[in-house]
Amino acid sequence: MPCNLVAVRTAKAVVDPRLVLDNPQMLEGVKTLVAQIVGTKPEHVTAYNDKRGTAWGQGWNQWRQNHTITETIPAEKLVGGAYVDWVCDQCAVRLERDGTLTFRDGWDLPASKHFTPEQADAILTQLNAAFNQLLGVLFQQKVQQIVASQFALQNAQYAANGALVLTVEV
Amino acid sequence: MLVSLVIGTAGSVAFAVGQGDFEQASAALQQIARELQMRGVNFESMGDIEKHRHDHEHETAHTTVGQT
Repeated sequence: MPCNLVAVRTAKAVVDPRLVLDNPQMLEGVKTLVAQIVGTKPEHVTAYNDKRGTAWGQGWNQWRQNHTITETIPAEKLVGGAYVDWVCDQCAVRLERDGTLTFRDGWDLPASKHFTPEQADAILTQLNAAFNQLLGVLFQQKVQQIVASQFALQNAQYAANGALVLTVEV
Repeated sequence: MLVSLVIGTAGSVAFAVGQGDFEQASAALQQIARELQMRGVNFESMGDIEKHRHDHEHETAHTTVGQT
């Protein structure tokens, strides 16, 4: 922030997980993010939640008996749920509305586990960083969209530290 | 009046006006914050609007409580 400003104000906003959970494009895009981190292909990741599909665990195993792993639930039908699970053959990732992020290795049977506890911790750490980065960018985009819709946006550019710098005419 | 916003990835937002008088600048900053709040940006904290003369000198009033 430069010196000799007429007025300055700082604020802290809540970066809301709904930026992903209520965004069909992001629900699809996260499949690629999850696939890269857990080491599978995006087409092997299915997204579902309490509105479509069933809870993970026993419910998930039962659900899979009647569905192929490549079946796609339209992302629009997942919007508005309490959480979203991104599930592949090996594991699942759940994002809840309060921001809780959970990584689940395998299913009900011990034989279904694919990762050591250390590997699972490392994956969760990577997932946490990736989701925070994604939510941060979505938050920046949301602020930019609001500002551009209400005021005359003169300039927008990213700083080296990842901050988005907007100049608007009010 | 030109207003700068610096938006961090963790939810920090800094608003600043470089030219004009303080009252007009203050009104502009309040207007932007109000628009953001009305359109779904939930601020968990919002600082006072200050003049920013240089790095460590702001025109704010300070007091201390709880000391004897």
